[in-house]
Amino acid sequence: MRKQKTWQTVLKRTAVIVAAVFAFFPIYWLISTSFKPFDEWANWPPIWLTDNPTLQNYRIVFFPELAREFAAQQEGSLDYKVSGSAWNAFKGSAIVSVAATIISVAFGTLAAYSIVRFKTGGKNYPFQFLTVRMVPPIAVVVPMVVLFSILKLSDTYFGLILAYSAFTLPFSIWMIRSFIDDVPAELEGAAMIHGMGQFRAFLTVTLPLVKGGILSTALFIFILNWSEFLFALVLTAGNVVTVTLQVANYVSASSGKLYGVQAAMGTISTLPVIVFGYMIQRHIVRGLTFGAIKR
Amino acid sequence: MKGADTDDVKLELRSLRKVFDGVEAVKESNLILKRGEFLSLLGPSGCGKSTTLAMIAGFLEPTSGEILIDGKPVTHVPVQKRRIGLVFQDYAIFTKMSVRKNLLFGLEAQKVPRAKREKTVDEFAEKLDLKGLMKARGGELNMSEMQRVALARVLVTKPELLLLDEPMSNLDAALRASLRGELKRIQKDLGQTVLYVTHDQIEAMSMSDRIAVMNFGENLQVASPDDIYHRPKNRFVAEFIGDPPINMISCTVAGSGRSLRVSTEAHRDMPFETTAVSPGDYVLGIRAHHIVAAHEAFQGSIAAAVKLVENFGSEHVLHVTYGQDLMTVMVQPGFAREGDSVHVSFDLKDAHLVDRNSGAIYHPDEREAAA
Amino acid sequence: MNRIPFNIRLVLPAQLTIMAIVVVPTVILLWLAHTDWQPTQNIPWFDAEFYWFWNFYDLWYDERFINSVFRTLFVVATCIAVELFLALGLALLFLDEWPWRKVAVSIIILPMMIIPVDAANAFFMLFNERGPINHLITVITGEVFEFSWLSHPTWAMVPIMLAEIWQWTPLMFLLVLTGLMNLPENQIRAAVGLGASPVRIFFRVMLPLLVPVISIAVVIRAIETFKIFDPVYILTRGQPGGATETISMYMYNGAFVYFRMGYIAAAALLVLFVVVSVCLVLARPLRKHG
Repeated sequence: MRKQKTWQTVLKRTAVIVAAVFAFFPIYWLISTSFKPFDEWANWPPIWLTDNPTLQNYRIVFFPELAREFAAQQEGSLDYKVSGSAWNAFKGSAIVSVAATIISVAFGTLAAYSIVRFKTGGKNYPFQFLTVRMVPPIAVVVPMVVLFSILKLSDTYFGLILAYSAFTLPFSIWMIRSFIDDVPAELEGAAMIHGMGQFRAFLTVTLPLVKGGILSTALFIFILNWSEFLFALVLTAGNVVTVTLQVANYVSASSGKLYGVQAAMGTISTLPVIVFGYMIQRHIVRGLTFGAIKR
Repeated sequence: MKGADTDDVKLELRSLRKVFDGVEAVKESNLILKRGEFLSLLGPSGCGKSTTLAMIAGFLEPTSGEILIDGKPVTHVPVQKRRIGLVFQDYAIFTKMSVRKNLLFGLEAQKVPRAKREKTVDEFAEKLDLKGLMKARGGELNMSEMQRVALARVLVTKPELLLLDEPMSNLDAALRASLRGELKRIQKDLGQTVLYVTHDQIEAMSMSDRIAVMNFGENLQVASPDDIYHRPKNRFVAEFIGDPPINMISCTVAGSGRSLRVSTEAHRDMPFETTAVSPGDYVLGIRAHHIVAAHEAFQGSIAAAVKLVENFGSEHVLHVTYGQDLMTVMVQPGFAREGDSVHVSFDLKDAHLVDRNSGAIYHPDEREAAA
Repeated sequence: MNRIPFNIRLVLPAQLTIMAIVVVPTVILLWLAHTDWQPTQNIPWFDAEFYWFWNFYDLWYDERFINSVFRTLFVVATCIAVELFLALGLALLFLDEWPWRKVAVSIIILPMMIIPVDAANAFFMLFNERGPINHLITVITGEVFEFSWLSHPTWAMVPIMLAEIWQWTPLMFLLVLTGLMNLPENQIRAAVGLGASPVRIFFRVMLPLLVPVISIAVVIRAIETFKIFDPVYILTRGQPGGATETISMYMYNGAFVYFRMGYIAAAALLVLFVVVSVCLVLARPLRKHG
């Protein structure tokens, strides 16, 4: 009896280890490649763990001029086409992501409050916001290009911010709605008996209580914005650059042969997402199911 | 119960003990359950009755001790193989299945051939009045229907032992009353051995062949309802059983040898024959309906003022003053009203002498002899 | 402005933003879809010739488009099936407490925390002709395996789907785990008491109780997988020759590589219509569950 238990446990633990290895391996490869020196990028057999780690790739990512010198040294084996620095990309992503997050959360909180406490629009109204997420972005992107060119929003920060805000609103509305819903309306009612206006009651009583939830929602939406690719690809033309675009550039610019640099950019661009992601770990399920499932 | 036939023993607990984080939840329990017997584990919340049940079922591993079913140790046998029927407090009906599927579940799990399955299920559906509900989904039933399905579900598998964990706590009083009778009838009908966990003394008293009264992990007394009621072995048992609760009055015992005299504040020198007790301060336990009440004084009575009348329907309970204490007396409806004065007395042959410190109870010798 | 009720004013910012970015473009689509506007012709879009419904007719016979539709459906079905299967299996291993459990969960959800483009990037390098995957296969089979995954019309779909599955199985895992941990324990205990084997308990008791959670998970993942773009773009751009094009990739190529925006607008309209209708139909039973 005891023996059977151990055998089962061993099997189970092995399965978990296998899963963990699968989960981690691609990331491991990315990180390890980012530290590989040029001559180890495309070896056969491939090098699993480099003996000569270098920061060269990271330097190139931030200082493209270095790359050109570097490429010149390698005698035409590299054709370095990415001229932008990662700083630019981080700047762009930061501006767009932060601004779009703030707008999305602000508008979303107001709308969520209205929907929960006033039942604005009836019981089907919130679902209308879900349809926004059902729409494949590609379908909207073509007319958006047209629209943006009319409004002179092409390749501007504002245009992208607007687009991101609109598409993350469903998340912010639904998530914050579920957080506000957790707070009973009676609390605001109690404040109102003391003479406070309804909205004031919300701000002073409920808002502090859902502060944590709103913060998690904000981080969640920030992650979505930071990871966004299609809109950035289509709605910009070089003036505005995001990290996702930068990564994609590396892949296409040199027919994907700049592995080390590619990996370096990939590694650092995803760091904020990893950090924030683990911070809001508990709320991820709630977020990605629009508040339908709470832990 | 030492002289019992060993092949008549369905369940035996030997020194069964459970410790949680240094707290002894169940203390060295030694219990024997005979085939076809209905035994209740009765006690307040936290007394260890549910823990004991969990160990018997197999969901909890004992810290030490043995559990034997039909003489064979099952302490290390997994739950599935113990052939025990379980009815939980919340019934745990399979909400996504039809009632029929619920009933068939155990038989399918035990690979009983199809024809036999269907026959058995129909048989029990009949017995528990579920014929009309067979197609209903588990989640759609009300409480009493769920209880019957929960019962039928385990009874079809003809378990060696049926374990019920407070199955009536979720029902209202009227339902409880009718189900008590039904459950007992079915049990006798099938000869099913039952271990019943409850905190409700009425359930335990009315249905059980024997009751194990538990507190703080200990089996304080394991005896027939009659014995428990008339001859409680200690204070806790005496106070836990009986409605209204037994009257406990301070007294002193004087005298020597067999003939002792018990004196309370109001009554002096009442004779008490027992060898087990030495003189000192004690507590006298006497039940409300063993007290004689009259409107006029009589031999040995004292006057008592009626402070409160509780209407129990077929009888009334008077709360009267007795010296410094209050005493409950059971009378006919209309006997007295608040503010009236009555005369009460009692016979020590019905009384219980309680040791102040140990809580042990002593009865007059003739009563012990009668046991 | 003050005439508008307070609660309406509260939703206005959100509502207007969405109308601007979603509704207005849809209206533009309605026009564009009925033209054959190609920006390379240097005609402003509103001057493009009205093309009646020919775009839709062309789409119907457009093999590349039809293929992309079926390919996308195949990807959605396969990815979800695999994700669900893996998630269920994994979640069962995490039901009880064991040492390092929290750490294991953190590692397993790591893929979700990677930018999809980066994940695709990583898989790009993994499936390189001289990458670790080929290396592993070489070591296992003993024969040199320098297959070029991303240039093969059929096999290129593997890294694409793997990237998607790798990235989103953790989400399914979390959802299924949440569902499993919220299962009514006593029903399972009752089943155990009745002598049921773990297999029987899993399929007859646990799975039916998990249906609500699994449904939500599947619907949400289906909607998101349908839109799949990032991995396709990074790994193959739909090549070779459109063989790995999903609907999104097809439309991107059509609009921004071949510049047939009018035509693609028609495709967009079609996709919009179908997706939203299907979602609304699917969402009705889900709405019952709140």
